[in-house]
Amino acid sequence: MGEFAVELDGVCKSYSSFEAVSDVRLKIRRGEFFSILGPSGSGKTTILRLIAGLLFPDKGTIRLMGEDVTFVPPYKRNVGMVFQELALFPHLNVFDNVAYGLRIRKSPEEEIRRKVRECLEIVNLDPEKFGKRKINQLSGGQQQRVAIARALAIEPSVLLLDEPLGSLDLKLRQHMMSELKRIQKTVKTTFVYVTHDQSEALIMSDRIAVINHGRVEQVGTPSEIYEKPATKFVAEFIGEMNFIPAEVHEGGLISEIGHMRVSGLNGAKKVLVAIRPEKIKLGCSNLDNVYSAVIEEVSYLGGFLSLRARVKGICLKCITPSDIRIEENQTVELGWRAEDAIVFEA
Amino acid sequence: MRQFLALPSLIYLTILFYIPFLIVILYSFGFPGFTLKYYSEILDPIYIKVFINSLTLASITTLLCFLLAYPVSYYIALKAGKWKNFLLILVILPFWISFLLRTYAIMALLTPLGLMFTYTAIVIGMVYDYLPFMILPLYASLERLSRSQIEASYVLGAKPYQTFLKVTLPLSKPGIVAGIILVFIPALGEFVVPAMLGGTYATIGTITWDLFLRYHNWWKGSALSVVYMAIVLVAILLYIKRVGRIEL
Repeated sequence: MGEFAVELDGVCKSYSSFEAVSDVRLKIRRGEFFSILGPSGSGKTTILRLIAGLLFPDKGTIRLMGEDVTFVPPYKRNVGMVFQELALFPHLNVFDNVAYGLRIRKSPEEEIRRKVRECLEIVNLDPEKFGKRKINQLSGGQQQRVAIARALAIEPSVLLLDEPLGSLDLKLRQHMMSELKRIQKTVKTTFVYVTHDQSEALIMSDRIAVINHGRVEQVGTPSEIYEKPATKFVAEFIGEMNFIPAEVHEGGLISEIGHMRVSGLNGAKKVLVAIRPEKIKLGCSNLDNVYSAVIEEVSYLGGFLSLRARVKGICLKCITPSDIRIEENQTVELGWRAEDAIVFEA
Repeated sequence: MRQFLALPSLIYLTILFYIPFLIVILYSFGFPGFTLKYYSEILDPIYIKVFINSLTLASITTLLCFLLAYPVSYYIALKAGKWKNFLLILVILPFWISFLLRTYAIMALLTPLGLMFTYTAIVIGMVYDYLPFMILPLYASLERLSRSQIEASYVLGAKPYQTFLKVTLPLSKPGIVAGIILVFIPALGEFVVPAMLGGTYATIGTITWDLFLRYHNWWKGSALSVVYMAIVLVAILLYIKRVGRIEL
């Protein structure tokens, strides 16, 4: 067995006329919390279903624990899956839901009881109190936990989670995020988590694959994805980003707001310079790029101020600690370091 | 005010159901006199045989309807996709034609096959007429089953047949219960199909029909009807007690 729990190699999948997944290559390491992040319709759920065996690819190979499972049916793969709509069995109680996979495997009854108890404890549900309950007697959060316990009970080689927190309210969602992280650390199973919510992916993941139009745009740690977006899509999709169109002139960059200094230009003639709102500093004149700006809007966000600043024809969004005094229509100096700007081919 | 809201349906039921039912009961006791003669006549072995005939026929019809309807309902509910509504209309379409005409049509089909006036003919006619009453409730319960519940079962290691036995079948139980009741009860009292396709084959329905309309023996016919209704009532109560409440 290799070091990877899941490997997708050149995987393509089309639905009648539409290519949902094209040439996806992913190597998911054992024991890591791996997120597949993308807007709706980007093909991320399709990737998950391909790993589960609920779909078969048109092209490419899928390996689980080093073994080729490309066309192996789902019931022979030993993967766990938590569905978006949970898909619990309403005719069975909590215990029987969690025991389902073990009963199918004909585990001895003793072993089943021990394993179900263990899994319910991992997800923080008291087996005594909840074991006999019906599914419709549980809250949304409790149902979520049962769905996770049911998937973990079979000791899957990988646990697939399809936007499981989508239906929960904000508070419960934040709580379940830390719970999922804790569960993953306890069981040390590989988690593959599909979401369109960047904060879920950034908070929980060891690594993230950003997907768009069925293609992998970038794979990296949360900070790599945020700090060094590989494509314009990633830069735009994760967090907030200011984009300034610019042209290369005699080794320098010229844009509507003036000369710009960046680190590292590739051969492109027309480029987009991207800069994060929090990288823009106010009132500092010792930076590589300094411009004079008019503040058009100030929004108070508690510890931070969100500003809209206009430099000639370009609006920039800036985020700054709220301990500075700033008012609308004020003219300020703002700037950023050359290495904080990211350059994309336009 | 609120307690009067049920009044229209109560009046309706009284005029169309309770009063005729009362008349039937009165006749069964020999109206305008009083006698238990007609009930004792029904205890004759020949009538018991007729009851058994009817129970057997209704059971066979229900079983065949279930076996034929389940795959159809399953396909419409879970596999048909955009054809779902079209297929449902096809199921309901026969209702647009009179029951009697449809049975005549079956006669026209069975005659060249040499099947007329056989038990097979009765069963074919019964199954044909009652099939939609099984398909529709089964469809309604299978429709509520989500595809992801079946997929969850696969991912947990259950092969398709195990998934069917452990997830699909138990989750469609309300539809099965409803379908069985909707087919079994009218099939038990059915008289048109056995009379038209079975010739002299006797069921509770055909005997009651004969007693009322051929021999004008309303008293005995009424007694037979009352016994029939009592049997159906007890059967349903036992059935519901066994399978739980009916959810339609």
